[in-house]
Amino acid sequence: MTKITVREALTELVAQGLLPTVDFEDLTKVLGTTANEESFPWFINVLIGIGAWLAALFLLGSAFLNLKPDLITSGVLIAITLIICHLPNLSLFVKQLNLATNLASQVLFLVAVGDMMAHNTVGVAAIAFLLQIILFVLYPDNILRFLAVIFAVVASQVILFQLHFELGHYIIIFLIAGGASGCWLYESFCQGNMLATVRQPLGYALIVLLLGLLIPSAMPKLGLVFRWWLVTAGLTVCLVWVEYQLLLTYGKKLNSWQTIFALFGTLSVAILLYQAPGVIGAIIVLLLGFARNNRILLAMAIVGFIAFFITYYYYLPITLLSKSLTLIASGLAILSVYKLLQWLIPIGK
Amino acid sequence: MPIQSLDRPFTTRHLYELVRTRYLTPDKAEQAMRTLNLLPDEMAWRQFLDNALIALGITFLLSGIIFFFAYNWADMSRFTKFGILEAGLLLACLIAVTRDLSRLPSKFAILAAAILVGILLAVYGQIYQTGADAYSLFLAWAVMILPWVILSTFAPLWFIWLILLNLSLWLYWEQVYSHHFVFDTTIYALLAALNGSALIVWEYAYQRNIIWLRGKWFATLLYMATLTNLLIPTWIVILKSRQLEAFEMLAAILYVLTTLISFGYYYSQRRDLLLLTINLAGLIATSTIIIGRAILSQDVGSWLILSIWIIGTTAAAGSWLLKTARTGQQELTND
Repeated sequence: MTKITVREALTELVAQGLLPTVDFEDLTKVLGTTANEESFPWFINVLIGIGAWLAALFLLGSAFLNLKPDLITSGVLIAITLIICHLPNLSLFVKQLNLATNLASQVLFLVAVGDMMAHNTVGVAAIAFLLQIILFVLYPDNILRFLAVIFAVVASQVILFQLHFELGHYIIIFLIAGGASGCWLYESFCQGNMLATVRQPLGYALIVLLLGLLIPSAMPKLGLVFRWWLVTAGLTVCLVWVEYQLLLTYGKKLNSWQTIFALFGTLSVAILLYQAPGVIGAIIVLLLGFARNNRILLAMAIVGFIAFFITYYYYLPITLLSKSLTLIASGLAILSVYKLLQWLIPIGK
Repeated sequence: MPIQSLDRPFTTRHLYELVRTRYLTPDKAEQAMRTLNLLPDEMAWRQFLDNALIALGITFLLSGIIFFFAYNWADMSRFTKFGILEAGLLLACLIAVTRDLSRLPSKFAILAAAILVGILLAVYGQIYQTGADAYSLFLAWAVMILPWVILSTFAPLWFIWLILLNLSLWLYWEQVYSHHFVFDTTIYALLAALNGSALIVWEYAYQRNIIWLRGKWFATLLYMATLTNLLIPTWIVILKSRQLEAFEMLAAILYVLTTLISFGYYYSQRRDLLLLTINLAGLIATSTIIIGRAILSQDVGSWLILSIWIIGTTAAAGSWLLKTARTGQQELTND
């Protein structure tokens, strides 16, 4: 996938009939903003971001040093940051300062809520969940929306854990897997509607949540008793759906041998790895990352694989011998799938 | 003349901007991405599946084998343990010598052999309970693999070798010399000297255009290690309330000198924005600690002053770095 310039790309798209004959000057204005946003190195943005966050923490420290956090003050602060974020032409520093102030105010707000509700965990988590939904809709910033999704799901997990509602955990994991897959598979289609501004933070947040929520499957000491084989089954369904959607994109039908091969290979691996839903989750992320040519997703998948391998080693409910046999069998199964693919379609054909 | 925005690399962000501004429909955007090779075609998928299946298959298989040996490790005789490790070492060496040393498979084989030497030494110490200090393990490891490190001309292996030296020095200081080493500024100064010397050698090699050592990640990590080992004693000096010793003052002076010299070098000789950013971040952190140490209290005003200081210095640093970045881009297009 070689790099071409914007000019070359536009010329090619016009030649292919995908774009009408365009006025390059008009498009310079449309695409010029995108170009400017890309021109500054990420580490400068990180420096400015960290500085803004530290400044906000000291600012809020000065405001609340001698005062107990109260609902009204922290609520007003959140409202002010909501107004500021909609102002035009904000510098990167002001945006980050506003964001940091908003996040710190949220913490103070929830501490005040906790005091008011006599530290009722479910109540505070429910308020936190609602607050994240409101901010996700109203605050047009990718970082805040990303964090809002994460915090909302964490709040929901706290509620489910307190209420001992195990089925709810499974539903959330399946929704996250499906949502993440949909966000990335239909990336282009989201650009043409109201999801355009929220798709990216939502997509990344769901991927982080998918991998994060599967980590407890390899850490029984956390005390979250789940039927992880059920999670593996659900994720396998999601994986098969992702594979089918990808095959459809390339014109392969349900009864084509490629679809049957993908289904057979996926089911074989899923059955062998029924105790390790994290690996299935990482495979979903890997496929999505490659399908959308997204290096961040590919890197997250690799990190996920490494994390699950390490935690699998320390997974105590099964012996090291069982784990070794499972891994060897899975490895041989995957290598057999590789050999079968080589035999069916040698490279070059 | 600034870089024309139309001559920048085309990315999916540009395509999505065209969708948002209704120049393209989403259907056509997907088609456009395939036309422009922004998404993988069938051939790329085929290659990816091959690579992913073999990587996953081998990883699972090798992990299973390692887990199997871990399960049986306690029951294995010492000769079996040594035999397995030495067989692995021999295999890695054979792969390295039978292939072209300048190619990646050979370099990775030498890397694997170097790591196996360390594991072999650790198992030796475990079996024979030699009672040697940990630092001697890392030092011996570093000495034994040095010829391979030199032969390999492989930057990651040099990096691992430097880590071993750092660990040896750190553990020597902890085990032999000082039990309160965390607040002992001498060890940080020594580590800074070690990593700083390596950085100077790297910069010399870079100027001499030595190809295999041109990865800037190496310089970035060495610079961060050097600066961190000078920042810690400097901050200790700032925060300490009792009288300072000569060596502690020396560490702080070294930090100031390193900051000034490296700033000049990375601005004028080898423009490196990332290292300049790290340099400025260190300065901002240090100045904030100095002011915080002087004024921070229960008084609201002191928190406000610190906040304003951070805002001011970060904004100024960010603004200067952005200006330098733009100037650098303009210079590139003028060349």
